[in-house]
Amino acid sequence: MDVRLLEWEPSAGWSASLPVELDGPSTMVLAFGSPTREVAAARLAELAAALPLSQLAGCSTAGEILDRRVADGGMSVAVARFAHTALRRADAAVAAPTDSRRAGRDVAGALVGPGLRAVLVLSDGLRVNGTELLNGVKEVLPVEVVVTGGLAGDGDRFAATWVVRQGETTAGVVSAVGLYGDRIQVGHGSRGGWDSFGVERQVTRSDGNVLYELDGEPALALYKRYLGDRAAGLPATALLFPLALCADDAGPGLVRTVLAVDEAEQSMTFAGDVPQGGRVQLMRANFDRLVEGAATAGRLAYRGQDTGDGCLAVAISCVGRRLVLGERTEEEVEAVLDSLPPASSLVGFYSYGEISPSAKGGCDLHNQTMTLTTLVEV
Amino acid sequence: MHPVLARQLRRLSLDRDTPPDLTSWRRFLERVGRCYADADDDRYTRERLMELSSHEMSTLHQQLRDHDERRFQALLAGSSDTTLVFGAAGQVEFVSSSATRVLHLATDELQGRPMLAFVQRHVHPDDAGHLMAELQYLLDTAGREEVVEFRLRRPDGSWRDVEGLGRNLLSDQAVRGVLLTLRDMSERKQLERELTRQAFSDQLTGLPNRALLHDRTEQAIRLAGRHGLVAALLLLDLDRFKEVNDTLGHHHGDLLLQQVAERLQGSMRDSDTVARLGGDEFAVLLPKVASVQDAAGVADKLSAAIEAPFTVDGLTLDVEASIGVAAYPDHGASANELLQRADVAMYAAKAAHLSYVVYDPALDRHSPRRLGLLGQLRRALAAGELVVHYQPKAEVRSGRIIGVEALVRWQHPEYGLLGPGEFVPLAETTGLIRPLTSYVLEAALCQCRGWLDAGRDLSVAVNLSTRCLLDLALPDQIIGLLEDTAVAPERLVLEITESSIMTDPARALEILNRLHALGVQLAIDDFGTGYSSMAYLKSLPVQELKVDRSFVQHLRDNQSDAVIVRSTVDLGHNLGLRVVAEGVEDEATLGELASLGCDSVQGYYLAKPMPEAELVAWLAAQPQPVAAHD
Repeated sequence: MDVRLLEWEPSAGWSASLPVELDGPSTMVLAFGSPTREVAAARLAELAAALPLSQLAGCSTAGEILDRRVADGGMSVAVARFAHTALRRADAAVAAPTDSRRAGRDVAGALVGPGLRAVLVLSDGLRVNGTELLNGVKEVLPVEVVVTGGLAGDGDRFAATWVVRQGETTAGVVSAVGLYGDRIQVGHGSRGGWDSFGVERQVTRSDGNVLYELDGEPALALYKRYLGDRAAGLPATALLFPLALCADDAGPGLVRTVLAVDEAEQSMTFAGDVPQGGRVQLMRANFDRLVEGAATAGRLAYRGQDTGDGCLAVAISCVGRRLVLGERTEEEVEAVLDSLPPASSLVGFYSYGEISPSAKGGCDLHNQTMTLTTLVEV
Repeated sequence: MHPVLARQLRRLSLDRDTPPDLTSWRRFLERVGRCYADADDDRYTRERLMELSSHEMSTLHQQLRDHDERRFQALLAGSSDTTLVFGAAGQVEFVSSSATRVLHLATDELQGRPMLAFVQRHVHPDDAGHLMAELQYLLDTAGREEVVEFRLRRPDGSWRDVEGLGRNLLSDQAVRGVLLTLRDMSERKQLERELTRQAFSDQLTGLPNRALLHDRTEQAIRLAGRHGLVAALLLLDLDRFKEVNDTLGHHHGDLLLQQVAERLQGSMRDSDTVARLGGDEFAVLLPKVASVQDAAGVADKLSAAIEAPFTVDGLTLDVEASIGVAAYPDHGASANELLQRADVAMYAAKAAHLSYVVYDPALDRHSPRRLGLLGQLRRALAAGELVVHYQPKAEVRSGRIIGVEALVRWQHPEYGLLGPGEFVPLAETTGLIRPLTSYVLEAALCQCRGWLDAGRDLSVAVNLSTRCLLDLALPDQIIGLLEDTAVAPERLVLEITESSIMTDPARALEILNRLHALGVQLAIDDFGTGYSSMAYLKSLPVQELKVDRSFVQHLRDNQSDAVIVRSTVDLGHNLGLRVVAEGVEDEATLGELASLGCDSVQGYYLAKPMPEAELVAWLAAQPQPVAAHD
């Protein structure tokens, strides 16, 4: 496996010449960026031209990760040519959140086949109900197929996201890359590092991923009370207080992050379902625990022997973490790298939701986590 | 250097030892500024979160406490128990609202006040001391649990029975006091008392029963022993109760018993116990008397009280009582002993026709045997152990044997031949006297028939007890026997005593008239020992007077006895009656009687009572009387 990392910055352009020599059908190009959509489209066109045979995937971000750095307004790119692994790409349109399950079924259906080991899913970050999307995927894929990925971001604006389809920056799309073969080893790890606090509240009114009331009080009012002056920064500042779904007989404890607020309805839209009748608890961040969580995700994702060549690691971390960590965001990226073999390559982005296998099998939508996928050919 | 600052320098490609150019410096300052702002935001968020969250937590906590408290209060208020907590200093620290509803105690009057005040104000004075001692004991002993019963004053001044369960919970941080749960036990106590009363009282009269009397007697003996006093037990049996029951029915009998009970109780002090032992048997316990004589005085008084007529459903009833008196320490040292001795004395009184008898050990020498005989008498009747002996009766004028008196004997397998004095009085106290009399009557009449068949014309006399005399069935029974044996009524003489006639003169007269109408001869036995009125005697259909042996025996050396005998003979003759003298033991007496004009004699001088076979031989040996040739 041959990996190159590239970076594009508005002021400096590409950090290196595009690696045309790696082009081929078993080459995966991952591009995560947050310039304007036109600029991004131009960069993607440059990549497609340089690597015409390769499988190009990517999406918009709330910050790009490359090696030890976190940047905004540029593009982070990894070009990985596999020696023993076949690739296939699929995508599906999602016109509305209610299409999510079908879209999941469609992409999984296009990729499912002999030798499929892992699927990397990149999805529109605003129009998709991540929980439903993955329910669709799980309906089709065998549980042993590792599904990871994330929801595209739009900085702290929550206005428009895009996903690469046929080289274009497209909204309302789910895209996935399947990796086939028995030489590819896929590792994964996902950790939060948030702490629940305060009283448990009951979800007294919700509809799918739209939350209206907690303990009979509009959820938005509760958030505004907690945010105080920082309510002006909604919906982004709602990320300061993710919602923990309390574990019960029905399922494991999950974390939900806010995607949007509706002042008229006093509602909040989350990246995944918030079931009515369930119990939830607000969460808060702790710098050290977030960073420690990222390091743990790294250790979980790479548990094999160090081949000396390192691995390609795709880091998808939640925009909420970035909001809290601020200037210290790079600490969690460094913590991830430090837990991987020295020669490893790290690319990734800050997202509106993370996808990673769950403890009970299959995959789940996570929020507020650092989710890491490691790829090694042996 | 702080890692964040180091990273910021690295990101801007700055070196810690080289001053940057203006552009890099501005970028650097911008980053550092953001870092401070991040820290400010974070602090703001953190503080706000802490404040709101702790507020929410305390609100929730208060809600839970309120909820718990409301639930706790609701549970206590709805409870039929009252809960009270008092602290180490004895102050009431908590009282449940059920106190008002259940015990009519005002909670604000209790709250914060000393337990002592509560006890003094509401608890029965007899219970207050004990209760305070128990509460103090509870307070002094960690973990202690006690049940204490006491009485609480009701608003109307009556007392309710309360059970208190106390637990020392001073070391329990949630209580820090003694928990006292009060429960109204009045109904249960009332029920207990009622059950006790039922178990220890006689249903008909409401008097204490035998069990309670026994209990109280034991108690009285213990107390008397300690204080050197005399405790007396009086056993009382109504002499004519059975007649009332038999003739008027049980309803009247019950009413009479109730009145007797009332009268007995009315005659006694409150400290004395009047009990009904069953049937017509009553007992009176005198726990404190100065002497046995005093107890005898009480017996006399009771007897007099009973003798006054009773009115039952408009009927006037006369009853008499036989009372036996036994006392501690002279006659026994236990309730059982006293009861048994009083019983012996009572039977003695009955047998002697005395209103009361004080127990005497001399009575007792015969009592076990006598009581045993009573039990054996019925069997003896069936087994033919009772035999009839005959004592001849001679006409003074002619010396002719004109008849015999039938006298019953008991050929007892263990004691030998027993005279009637040994068992007839016993039989009289029971219904056995009737079969016994029937037996003698039948035997005598059968014998009479036998003699007639053998050519001997003898009358036969049979003694009638009071019970038999008053038995309305007697005339019919005698008719039957006379018909069965084909003996002429004139040959049967029934001997009756004055006292048995006087028991119920009207009834006696009715029966005697019927017997007389049959032609049966009637004789007054033991004449002179009773106090019958001459006028009444005149109205009786009798044909014979039998002068009592006590007068006859001393006829020749006791002037007054001689006067009595002479008067009796004259009286009898004036009334047209034959006069018979009993107990003639020598020829001189016989001569004297002859000179007094006595018609017939009977006694050992002539012949003692003897079995029929002996009698036949004896009769055969007699010279043919002169009168036979008249």
